[in-house]
Amino acid sequence: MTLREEHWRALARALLATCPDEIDCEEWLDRVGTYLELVEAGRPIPDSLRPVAVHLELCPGCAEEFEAMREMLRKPG
Amino acid sequence: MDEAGDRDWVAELRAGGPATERALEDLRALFLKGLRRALSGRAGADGALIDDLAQEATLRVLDRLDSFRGESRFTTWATAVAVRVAMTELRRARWRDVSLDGMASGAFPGGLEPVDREPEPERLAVRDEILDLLRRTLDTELTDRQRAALVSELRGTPPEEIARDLGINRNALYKLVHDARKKLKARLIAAGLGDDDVRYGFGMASE
Repeated sequence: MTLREEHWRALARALLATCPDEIDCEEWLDRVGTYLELVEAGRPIPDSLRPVAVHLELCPGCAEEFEAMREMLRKPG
Repeated sequence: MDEAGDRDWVAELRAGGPATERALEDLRALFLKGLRRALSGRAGADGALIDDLAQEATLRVLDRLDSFRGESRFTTWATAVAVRVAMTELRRARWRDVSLDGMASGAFPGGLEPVDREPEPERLAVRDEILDLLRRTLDTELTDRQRAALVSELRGTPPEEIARDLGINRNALYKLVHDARKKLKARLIAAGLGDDDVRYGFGMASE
């Protein structure tokens, strides 16, 4: 098993974010809408949506999707 | 996609008949416009594929309608579902076309940060202690499936591909990686290496 230094660093960052009440990718998808609207509006994120933010730090697939969601909701300039 | 925000999409999609057909067509048109914008410039995202993705996303929204909680605008929730459909397909296509080396360091959040090549000796000692413990735990305490899932994710393999290789779905993959991370973190804590030590060892700013 070979991991490069940046992989270990990414693992270290993931371990910092690891917590007992993480949500999975399906629950994240069901809850991300509200989070997305607050982020786009520049409004504070309530504690109840913290699991959505934590999942974003931990899941590369959902993080990539989140950026595409923001792009899709953005009004054409 | 705000232009249709006040419409009662759920009622229309459940009504059946012409109302549902009209809502599906409008939703598909919204997805088409949004996906063209969101996916522009991404490898493989040509017009024909985006047409197909918009259609598939529309049907997926209909399938998942019961999971809409009404906490956000309907179109925001539907956008999230459409992006899940689109990115899953695009990642599959990208993985087929790009070599493992090309993907190796790109996917994990924070994975492309500059690496501190010459840390001071004290920091280096802490980092080496952490890395040594993580390596040993990975090699000897994680299950084969936990190790395979975690290492593949760190290397940037798309979640759909890892899940397919392991014969599980994406949720089960997340749980597998979560359990692996919990085990690694527990070993660090048992060795007296807390979050502050990890931040110090890897030169990360405190929260």
